[in-house]
Amino acid sequence: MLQHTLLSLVLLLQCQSRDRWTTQLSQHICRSKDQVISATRTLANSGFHKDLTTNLELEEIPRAFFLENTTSHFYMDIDQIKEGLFLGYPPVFPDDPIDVEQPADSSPAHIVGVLCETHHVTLPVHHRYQPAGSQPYSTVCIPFPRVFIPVVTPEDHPDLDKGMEQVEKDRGCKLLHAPCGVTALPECGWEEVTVVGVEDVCSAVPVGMSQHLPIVEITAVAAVFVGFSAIVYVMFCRKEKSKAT
Amino acid sequence: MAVTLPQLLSASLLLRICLVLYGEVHDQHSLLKYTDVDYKVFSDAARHVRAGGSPYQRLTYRYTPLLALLLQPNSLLPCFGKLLFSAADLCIGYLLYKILSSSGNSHRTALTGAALWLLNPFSAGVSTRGNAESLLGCVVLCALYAVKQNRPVAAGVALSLAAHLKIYPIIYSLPLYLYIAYCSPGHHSFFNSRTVQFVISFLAVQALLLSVFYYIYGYDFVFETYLYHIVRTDTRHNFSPYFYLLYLTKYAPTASLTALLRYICFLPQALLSLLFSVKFYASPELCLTLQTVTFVMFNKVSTSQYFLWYFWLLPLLYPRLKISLVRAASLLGLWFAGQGLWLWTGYLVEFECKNCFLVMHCAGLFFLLSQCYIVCCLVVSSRTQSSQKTE
Repeated sequence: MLQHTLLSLVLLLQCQSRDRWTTQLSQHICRSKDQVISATRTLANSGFHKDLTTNLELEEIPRAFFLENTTSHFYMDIDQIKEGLFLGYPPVFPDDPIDVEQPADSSPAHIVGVLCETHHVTLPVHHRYQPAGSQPYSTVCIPFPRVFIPVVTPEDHPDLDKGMEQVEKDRGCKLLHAPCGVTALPECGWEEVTVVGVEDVCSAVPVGMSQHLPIVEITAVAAVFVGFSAIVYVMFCRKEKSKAT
Repeated sequence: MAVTLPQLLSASLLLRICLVLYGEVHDQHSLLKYTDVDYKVFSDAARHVRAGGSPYQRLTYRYTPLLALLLQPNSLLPCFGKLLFSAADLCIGYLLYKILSSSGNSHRTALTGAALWLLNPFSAGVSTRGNAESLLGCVVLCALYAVKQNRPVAAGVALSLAAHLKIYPIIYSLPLYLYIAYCSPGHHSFFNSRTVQFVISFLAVQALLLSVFYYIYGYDFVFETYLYHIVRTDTRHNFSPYFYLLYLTKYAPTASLTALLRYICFLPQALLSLLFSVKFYASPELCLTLQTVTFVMFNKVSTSQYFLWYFWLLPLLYPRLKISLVRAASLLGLWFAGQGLWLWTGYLVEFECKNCFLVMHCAGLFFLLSQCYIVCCLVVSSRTQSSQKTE
């Protein structure tokens, strides 16, 4: 019986994590009528490894929940972020496992939930390899996340499920069910808030240049041929030559 | 006072225990981890297996399920895997000593060869960071030792296990087969009872491991453990001379020559492996080293981790190499210079956002040619020694 219950729980958690954000976002999500917050965002460091910093002007609101769309051009290394929790990285909740090896053209976009308990949050993000093209750099952007503020929390509603059900019934919309803390459960009810003063942050990433192909083909084939021939020559021919001498 | 093998092994063990403990402390206080990223993958895969699932539920786990099974105690002792890999490191040192001793070298020479591995900070660092390659090194050297001890069944079992852990040791099967066929006492024909034992034991272990793991984990096991590594084309920067070519051709597969190049770039490594097998099988230490070095340098994907594959074989060449210390240092310097140049361009691309792909490609070719030169020197040096012996 216990085994059966545990198995059901595991299956339930797996189903919840898969597409948990996209499924919820497809519904009519509650939006705050009176709250408007402003925010700024920067993408620091050059190269493939960046620090994405978001500053929120949240007065009297203890925390916020972001839904970051990493697009297919970027990825977040969830292990790296989890290991950096003690250094101030926020708890993150990806929709699906993120493959950190795929290039941009074969990777899906991911939505990552980020629990922001301060007004200033920094996340490490990484560029994926871009397809080769005719220009030396490709500019890629991360859109500003959708931001949510708490409506139903354990502090106000001891029974979270009942509390969320009640609020959703009263307002005729769905709250975002997302973690209240570092762990995936329990889940609080969050409503979306309008954010002003935000733009997508963009950066340039070096890409292979298709004009290089002829020279790369010639040099690669030549180097491999020279290296291969030298080894074969030393292995078989040089001995005979020295014997003859 | 002469150093003994147990003393050397004890010192190496102490060094590794200190490094494992240091890693545990370091990781709790720094974002830049001492522990290898793959160790987390192994540990997660082991956790999935313990929960009754498949190790392949962990994304990027592309190894045999054996590894996840071996790391089950990680749940009780998170550094268990690192200790296991360190123990495999010590086994490599022990096997190096035994192989060198059994080849007629003095105790001092054999001990120096073992110390080159055991006291090498690079090898100690790799295992204690949680890299599992030392397990592979251990079974590869077991196969070599068994062949030299005229024990074909043990050699077949060890080689099969090695080829199960990683596919590339399959290239050792031909030289080891030829050694058993022509260099075993009393047997000098291509087919004999010893070669049959070698082949059957190899195939039996392969069949057993394949069928058991296929039965349990299905196609995921076959794809992640074997097929992924065969079809893999990593377009991210790496040491391979083909890296930029493959990156560009992935997005411009128009010319027939280009398409052809993508499929024939395995030929140089395959041909060299065959030629080394035929030419040097009587000296398996040299043959296996040359095969591995050329396999890595001509491979479609080549990272620093691959260099380890010949690091545990190199100490076996130490007594054979009749070159001066200055020449040995200059060859080592050339290897480091080639690698350093490539790493510099890699840094510019990855961290400074400079478009240096073409320069990186040239650095990769320079690294390839420097390695070819080093291989030529090894071949010449080994031949000089053989001629001296003949005289």
